[in-house]
Amino acid sequence: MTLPTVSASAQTLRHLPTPARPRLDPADVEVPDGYDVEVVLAGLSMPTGMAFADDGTLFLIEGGSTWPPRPYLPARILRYAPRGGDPRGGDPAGDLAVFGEEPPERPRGATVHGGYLYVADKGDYHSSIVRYGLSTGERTVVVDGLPDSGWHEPGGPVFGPDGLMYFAQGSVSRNGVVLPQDYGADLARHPAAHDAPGQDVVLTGDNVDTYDVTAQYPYPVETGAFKPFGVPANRTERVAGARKCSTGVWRAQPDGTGMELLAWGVRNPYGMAFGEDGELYVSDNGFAEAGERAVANDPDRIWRIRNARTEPGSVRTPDWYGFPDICADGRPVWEQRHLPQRGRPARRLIAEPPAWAGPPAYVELPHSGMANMDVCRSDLFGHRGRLFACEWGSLAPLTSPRSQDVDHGFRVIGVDVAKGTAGDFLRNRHPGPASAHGTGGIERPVDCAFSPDGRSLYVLDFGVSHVDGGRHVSYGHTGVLWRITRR
Amino acid sequence: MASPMRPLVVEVDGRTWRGYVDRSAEWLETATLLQATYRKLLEDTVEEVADPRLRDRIGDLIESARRHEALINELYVAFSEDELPPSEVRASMLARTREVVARVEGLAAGARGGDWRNVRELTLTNLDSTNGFAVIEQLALAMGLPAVVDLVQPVIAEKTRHQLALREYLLEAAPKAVLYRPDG
Repeated sequence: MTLPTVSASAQTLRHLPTPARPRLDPADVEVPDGYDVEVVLAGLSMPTGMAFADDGTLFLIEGGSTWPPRPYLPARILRYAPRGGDPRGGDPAGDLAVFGEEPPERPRGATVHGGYLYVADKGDYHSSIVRYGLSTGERTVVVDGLPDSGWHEPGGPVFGPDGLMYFAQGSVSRNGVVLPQDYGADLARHPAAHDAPGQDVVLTGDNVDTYDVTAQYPYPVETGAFKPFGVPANRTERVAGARKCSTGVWRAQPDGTGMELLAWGVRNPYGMAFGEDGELYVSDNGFAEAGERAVANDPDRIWRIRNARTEPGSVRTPDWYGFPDICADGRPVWEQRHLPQRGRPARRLIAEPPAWAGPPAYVELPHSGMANMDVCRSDLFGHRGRLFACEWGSLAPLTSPRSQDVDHGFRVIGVDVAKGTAGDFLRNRHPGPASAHGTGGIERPVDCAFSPDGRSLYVLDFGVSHVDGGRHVSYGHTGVLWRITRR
Repeated sequence: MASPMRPLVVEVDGRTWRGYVDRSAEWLETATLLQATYRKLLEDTVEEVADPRLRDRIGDLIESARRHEALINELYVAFSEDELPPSEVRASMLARTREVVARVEGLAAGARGGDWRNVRELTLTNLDSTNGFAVIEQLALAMGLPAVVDLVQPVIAEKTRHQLALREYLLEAAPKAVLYRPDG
């Protein structure tokens, strides 16, 4: 199905009918000298991920229910090809069509491999990986049953140098215990949702007291780690590890068989990429400083998943990366530096924790909202070997009361994973989203991908997602695809 | 370097957008009817209520209900940047509002002496009209219209509080209305 599109002039882009994002102007976007910025597509609704096929066709995901869960717009997979089918030909405009729809599965990330388009679906109670035959359009579920229905996202899928599929799933709870600071309707829609550990754990029984906002009166309730809302844990209670856990990172054959858990304790593993060094890198977001289990100053980070280097089938015990008790600096959530200004301090949930698999390969400012990533494998673009990481941007003051956290993110950085350092690659002239300053620049970068010819970096911009006070609203038809090309 | 690209705009061209605005205007008409129904039922009920305490409480809701109903004209402007809804929409809306209000008058008359039954009707009509505004919010979010969202969110919040209050009035009066009702 084709979509209503028109070829737009620069003038058109400065007078869009969406007051939330009325203008787009590449001149308002800063990139290093020697690079040009262009708008490729405008008017996308809640885009969450994208993937190139080898022939230059670009598949774009519109996520349906995203952040916040409403408005719930069509969860579509779009296929974009410049007119004539060859993006390297430089045709002035392209063809955009609906390749598939994923309602109510909430699609997120995508990749193309071996004649298939693979898509990670956030799902309802369970997330999954589906694949579409590129020539047939036939849809098949290859992985299902990963615990979800909660706060955080599926990651990947990506394919490694070994030809295996790597994917992830974030936490069900926001900060380790299912609590009503999540969107209220979530508790009503998913009363049985809870986290699951990746290996056997013994609990402290330090439950969290709160109120049941779904009850006729706000009755007091007690909730434990790895339990549904309102279900307490007991001291010394043992919870069995599950291969299909939350906060997990896995690999499997492309058809989903031979699934192997590599790691767990990764809170929100939205971005995944293999470096030129053969290592698997996974982005992750720090705890929120809000609610009845609040944690301050937990950095965003990129993990190096050590077990991705092992022989397939050889991982007996997955590595643990800290959720729900350890921050990215390796310190417990109950230590002084992580005590919240707002909300109730967190207590220990796991009595005898596994060894921590950190430190991260890269540590970022808290609440930067690290999202999808890609690695530059071309000398034509420059920065070869750098990991380009999208930073969706802060949700403060919703997730942090600290004024310095408000502008974190809203950019694309280039990470030197060997040194653990990074520099800005794409950002607005002023920190924060364009809508905060009334400019035509970027809002919230959610994914980036290099074109198969290695000449251009495409950056997918989610669009306007605005937080003020206790309110968080996102606007449809404000998503943009940008292209950055070396001159 | 790669050749420059001519950007595409998706679903925000003039024709598609006009279609979105027109379909939203149809929903605004529906929301007007739902709110007018609720407002009219409040006005009729307050005259019927014998309990002075309940009469005061319901009377307090009428001013808000009128204000919310009047706000819908502002929403038309915020959606389409037109001064007023198109004349054919206004005519249709007026005719249907009269029809609904007439039906509500009949409903209230049929329930004469039944405070409790009227309050029950109020809980249903307020819920329905709250959803009418909540749908407007979803349309505005989908179309990137912060001005509409800013107008409608306080209405939804206030009507949600009113819903809790109306349900309490209903439940407070329930045992007397059901168990202590005089036979015959």
